[in-house]
Amino acid sequence: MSIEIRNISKRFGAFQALNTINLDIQSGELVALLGPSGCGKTTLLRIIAGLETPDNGNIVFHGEDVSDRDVRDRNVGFVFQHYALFRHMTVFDNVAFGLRMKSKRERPSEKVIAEKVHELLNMVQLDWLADRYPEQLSGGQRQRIALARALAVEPKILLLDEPFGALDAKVRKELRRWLARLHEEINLTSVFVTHDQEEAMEVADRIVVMNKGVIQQIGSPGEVYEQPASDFVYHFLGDSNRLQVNGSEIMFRPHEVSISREALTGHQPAEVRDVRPLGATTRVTLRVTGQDELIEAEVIKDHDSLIGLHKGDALYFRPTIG
Amino acid sequence: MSRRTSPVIPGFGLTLGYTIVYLSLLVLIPLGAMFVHAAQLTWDQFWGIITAPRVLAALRLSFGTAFASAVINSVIGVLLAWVLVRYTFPGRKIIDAMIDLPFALPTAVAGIALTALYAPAGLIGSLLQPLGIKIAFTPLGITLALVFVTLPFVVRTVQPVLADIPKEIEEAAACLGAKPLQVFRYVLLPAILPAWLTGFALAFARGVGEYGSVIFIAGNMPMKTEILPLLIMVKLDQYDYTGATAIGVMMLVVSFILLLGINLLQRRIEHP
Amino acid sequence: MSTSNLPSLSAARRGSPWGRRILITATWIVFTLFLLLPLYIVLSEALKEGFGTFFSAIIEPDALSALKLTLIATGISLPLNVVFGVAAAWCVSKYEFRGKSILVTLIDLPFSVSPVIAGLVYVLLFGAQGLLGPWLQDHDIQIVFAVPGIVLATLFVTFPFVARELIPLMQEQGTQEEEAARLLGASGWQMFWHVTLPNIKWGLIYGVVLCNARAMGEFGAVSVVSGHIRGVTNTLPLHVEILYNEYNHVAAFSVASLLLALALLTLLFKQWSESRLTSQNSTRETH
Repeated sequence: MSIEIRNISKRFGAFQALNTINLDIQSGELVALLGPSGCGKTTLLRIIAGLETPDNGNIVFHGEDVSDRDVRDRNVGFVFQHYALFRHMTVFDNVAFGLRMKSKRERPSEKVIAEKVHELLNMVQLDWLADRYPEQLSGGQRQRIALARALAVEPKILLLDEPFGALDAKVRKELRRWLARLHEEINLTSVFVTHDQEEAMEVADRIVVMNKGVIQQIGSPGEVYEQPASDFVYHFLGDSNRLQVNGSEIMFRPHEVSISREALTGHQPAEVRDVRPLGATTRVTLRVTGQDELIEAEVIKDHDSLIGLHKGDALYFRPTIG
Repeated sequence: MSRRTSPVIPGFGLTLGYTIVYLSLLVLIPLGAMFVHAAQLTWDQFWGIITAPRVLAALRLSFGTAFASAVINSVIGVLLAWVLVRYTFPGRKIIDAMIDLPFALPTAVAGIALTALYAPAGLIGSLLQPLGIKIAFTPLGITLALVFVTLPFVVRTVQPVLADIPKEIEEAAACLGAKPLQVFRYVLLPAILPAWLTGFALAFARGVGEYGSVIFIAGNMPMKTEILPLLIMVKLDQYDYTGATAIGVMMLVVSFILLLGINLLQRRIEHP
Repeated sequence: MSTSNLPSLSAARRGSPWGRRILITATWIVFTLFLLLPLYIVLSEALKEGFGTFFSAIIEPDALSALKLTLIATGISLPLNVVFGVAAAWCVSKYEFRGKSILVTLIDLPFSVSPVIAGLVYVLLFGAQGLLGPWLQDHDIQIVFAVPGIVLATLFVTFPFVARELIPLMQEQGTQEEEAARLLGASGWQMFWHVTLPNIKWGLIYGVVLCNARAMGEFGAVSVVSGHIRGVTNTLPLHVEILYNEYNHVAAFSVASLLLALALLTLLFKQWSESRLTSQNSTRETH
């Protein structure tokens, strides 16, 4: 099911949370809303769900304007940042909740509900936890239960608010790969909010970069990274260096740099301030005369220039772009 | 937050010792003395006193009106807690502050004020009299007085719990299609139920033992509107210390059993 | 999150405007009927015959002696229960030991005991027929039907107030600040005065205010042990009862309005210390 967001604006008092947002999301797409905190991404997600009412604009699901439709009737799945599981219900009852709330005519029998719940719990690989309570689960497990609960009512649209934000680094990586696979399998239109560019790049088909209530750029992960539409997008999508050259400023990413112990052509001298092995790459922090801002260079770990390199040594570098 | 015993914080022996001594001298030994006094009675004598028709009538009245007022306050209390937590409206702060008036107001003052209002010649009593409704000097009046003095219990136990429920919980329920009444019934109610029961139990226990606010409005007719604490008073005035003690012990034991029951119920709700 | 206490305008929570209006109206009705009207009736009855009668009922000698006894009983029981409350909260919140939950339950016990029983137990212990009665008579010590009995009964019923306010507060605050003070070389008392006391100040005041209101207003327990000797063992609430039973309603309500003023003052104090307590807690959280 496609989502069209047309001219959406929202104010909270004097604060302009969203300013005339327009966005089309195709059926089956997995889209990331990416931006710093306060950029309006969560508000936009909540407006799509119907949890918040916009001041202006319309939300259209598959050609049908749902702006005036209550959250209950929009049939979207929503996964909250802190999951919002019902703590007095078992995992089973949490997942069954949406089915049990249906009106008598639409409500499946308890037997059908039980089958459906176990099917979902199997899908998130947590069927063995059916009788536990949320407080007995780990963060990653809660996350998957929240997802199963949202999917129980068979929504056509799945919205996730910082779905991995509250998890520790390792679980987060596992879960986001799992989510991307799941999205492939069950053919939903999914939108998730994140402030983590790595997460957006790894999971999303398309990334919507937002700042201060407006959309900065929409594009595939490759596009927003390689062809940033603004300085903001450039900085937000990865580490970056700023170098003063003849009064103008050039920007480049830490890996877009060539280093050498010799003064090669086009290379300029710098002083090594720090050498830090990061695994497959090693980060060298450099100090350049004429600017306070340090330059970071990331090179493969067995780069020739690194042998015997110490703090205080001289090193030559050149940005490999522009 | 560290809650384990910390070796560097002094004063454990001193404060625990002082607490236990003070508690024993002031509360435990005197209460014990009552049980010692009651132990002078044989079981048959004891049973005879507490099953006397006048005592049984008072027992029924005290526990009955306390129960009724606790039930009424459960409804009023949740209403007030809900409105105070969820809505902003003019006067909200004043109402919120005034909820505790029954706790701060001496019970005797509450007693004469309610009597003045609900007596047949009183401000409200005179309005109800033509309708054939009598409040003062009937069990209804006693219930009313108890509703007043125990009003804050349910409000003050439910209010913080209600305020602490994250809004995402209700939003999650709404996203899953639950209607407002369903959200209340299946999501909010279970969350506030333990606190609700606590408030109910506190109100009930206080209601059973309440004296000052009730005696003015009750009329104090034996067999009709005489509450248990008043009966203890009556026995004391007649120098029937044994009778007073037997009733006192019975009140404590019955209240204790009821509170224990509510406590167990509460545990079953919290950890099914 | 700090906004969670404010009524939310989120679409899922808003509900229907009619339901909202009905509930708010119901709240106003309950408020008027149960809280406002009793307040009004006390004042209107007291002033029924004008300010002159009102004041003469208050400055009449029996009323003044009742006021004096009320102040004495409160003046003695309040400090004792404050010291106890702090000590009890200290050992319960800063240490783990066996039987702790039983201790907490016992501290709360006076709340669920009828005030009449609270008076009764002292009569049984110290009265003429009581366990210690003969011994006390031999030594010419009068406790029941005298001031000591009134103080004891007041102590009993106001016993848990301070401890009950402080225990959850101190448990929430934990022991880290005290440990830090000790590591920085503070002695036990220095730690208490400079770290613990400032942290529990508002909770303590809150407990004291509630304790004070109950101490001054206690009726049932004091009634049992007082003997109702006019001008001698009468506290203000007991004086109200006597006047009322003598059908001197205006005087009864005049004295009652004094106690009502005390109650309103208590609510004001309570509101104030409560707001200080929450602002203190919220600054704690943000730091």
